[in-house]
Amino acid sequence: MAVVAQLVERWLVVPDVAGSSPVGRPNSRHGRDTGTSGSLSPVLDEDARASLDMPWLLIVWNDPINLMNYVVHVFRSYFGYSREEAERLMLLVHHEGHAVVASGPREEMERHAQAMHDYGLQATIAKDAP
Amino acid sequence: MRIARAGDELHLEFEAEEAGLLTVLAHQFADVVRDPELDDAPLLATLFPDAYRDDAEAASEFHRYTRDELEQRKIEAAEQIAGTTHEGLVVLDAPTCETWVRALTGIRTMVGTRLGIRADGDEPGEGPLAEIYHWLGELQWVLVDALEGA
Repeated sequence: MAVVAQLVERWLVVPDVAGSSPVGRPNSRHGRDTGTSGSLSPVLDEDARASLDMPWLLIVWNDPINLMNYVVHVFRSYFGYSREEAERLMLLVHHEGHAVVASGPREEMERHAQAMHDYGLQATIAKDAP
Repeated sequence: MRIARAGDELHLEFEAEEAGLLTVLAHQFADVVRDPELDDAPLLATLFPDAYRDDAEAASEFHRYTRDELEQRKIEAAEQIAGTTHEGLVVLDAPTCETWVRALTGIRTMVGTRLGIRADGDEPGEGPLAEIYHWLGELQWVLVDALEGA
């Protein structure tokens, strides 16, 4: 059985470079207009409104099994990201240990998480970035 | 193993030994997902991770709603590999190739877990199982490249 080791680029160890760059975050964090904020505003203070507006985050974590090109492929084919964006997110996962790859309503993030688990990626949902 | 692209199709040429191996591993994977044993806990935790790290209740509810479907799809994907692999020429169209790369991640996770690869920096070591792990990685790498048009 021929093994061409150089073809196989495992998703390798990465030195700890925490804090060297911010986690990427899709830009829908603020300003989602649900059309209902006006009716809520009289009873909610600023903090409560900010909390309601805050989307949920889908986070993909580094793992020792998945191949780099497979992760790029999943980000491209499932989320429809450009190759550049998919590679940027994959490298964030690779270098930082995780990346926020989507944000939005909780139900939507749960669907995405299920899809990521289907692809074999380690994905979690949270309110705040790790 | 030889690989060639022909239009939208991928032509894989398997040796008898390679086809046999891939088929056995795919069946093993489907069996483990269908009927796991106690030893398989680390593998299952990787295949079906908690979706919430700080909320056990939400994590358990997520499992309740998603686990059956995830298991079913992983089993079907592995069985598709087992059902299409044989010695000689195997032709994959793009949708089948998508299923293969998804299934190969699961099969590699199974073999990698057996080799003790749990965290970054864990090496497969040497020996027949490590060679199989490398070979599966090579196969998946080439199939993904083909899907990406690289």
